[in-house]
Amino acid sequence: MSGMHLSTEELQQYVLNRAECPAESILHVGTCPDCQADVAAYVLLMEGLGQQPKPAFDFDVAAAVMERLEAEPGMTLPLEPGMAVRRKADRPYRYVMAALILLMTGIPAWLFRRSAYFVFTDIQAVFLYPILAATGIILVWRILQLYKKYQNVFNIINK
Amino acid sequence: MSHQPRNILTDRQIVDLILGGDMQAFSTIIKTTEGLVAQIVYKLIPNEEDRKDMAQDIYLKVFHHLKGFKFQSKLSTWVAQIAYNTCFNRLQKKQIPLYIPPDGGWEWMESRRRFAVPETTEETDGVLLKKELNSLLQTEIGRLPPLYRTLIGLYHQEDLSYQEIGQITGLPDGTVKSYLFRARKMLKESLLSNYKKEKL
Repeated sequence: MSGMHLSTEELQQYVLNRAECPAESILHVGTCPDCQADVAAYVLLMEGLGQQPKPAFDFDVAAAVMERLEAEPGMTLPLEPGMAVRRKADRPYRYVMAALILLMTGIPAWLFRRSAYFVFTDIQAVFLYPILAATGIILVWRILQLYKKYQNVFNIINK
Repeated sequence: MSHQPRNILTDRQIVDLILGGDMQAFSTIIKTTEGLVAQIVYKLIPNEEDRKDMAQDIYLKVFHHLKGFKFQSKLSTWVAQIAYNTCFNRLQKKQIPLYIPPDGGWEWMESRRRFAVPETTEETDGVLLKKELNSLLQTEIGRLPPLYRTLIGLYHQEDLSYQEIGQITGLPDGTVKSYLFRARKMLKESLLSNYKKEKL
């Protein structure tokens, strides 16, 4: 490291948080005029970025939103008054529901645990391979879809 | 709780107030988060009129979805996430061009730059240089891709962490970090090339 210049990431990291930089990087910057120049440029840049004017709406957002909310036909609150209190009161009911779901899935799973084991050990290859192949195809298809969606999002935002 | 000043209420207290019917509490949310929302809207939406509609649409969505807020992040982060997604969906639907020509749009930047012109000659060279640099930097930020512009604003102006920016944009923390590195590198290089041009 001491002979090599710092990468862009290392230089920025040095400026942002010198304490977390490796000792070798700090040592190198101390002796290398090129890296010192880069560090100076990044220090200026970071200072400038922090001093940029913050954008602000030039109208009263709260008043405009309140006006639109009042004008909405049949405007209702997200919950009716008092519902927030009721929501808290609903908690025990939710716990009971969760317990019921656990019981309804847990009891059959426990009762048929031995049979469930044989489903995987006794299954014939003629069934097993198509199931594995179908699972694999669906998985690959979903990954491709996600990748395509991700690419699409970045294309739109950086057009 | 009702005697507590509204600006020091916790997220949970303020949401409960709104769900209990206190509309004034919703105004408080708008006032405390509109700076952050403006940061996102101004960086992603080029047209002034669209920004106005966008700001209102964002807060209407926040209001209507408030009951679904799970307190898994700060309320301001959640509002910013809605702002980001709303802007993104608008851009996707209307196919608004996202790349702003260097000499057009961004009226707010231009107006702010006009106000920033120094009036006295007593200022030191250093101060003038810094003002020039800041003005140049403002232009260069405007030339960055919108996502980079947004990330720079959220990190350097709103002081948000990589994690918070990740929650807002839906990007992994590592991606946020690496995009910020790239954006700063682009800014540094364009500033240096401008400086060299001026020297010639």
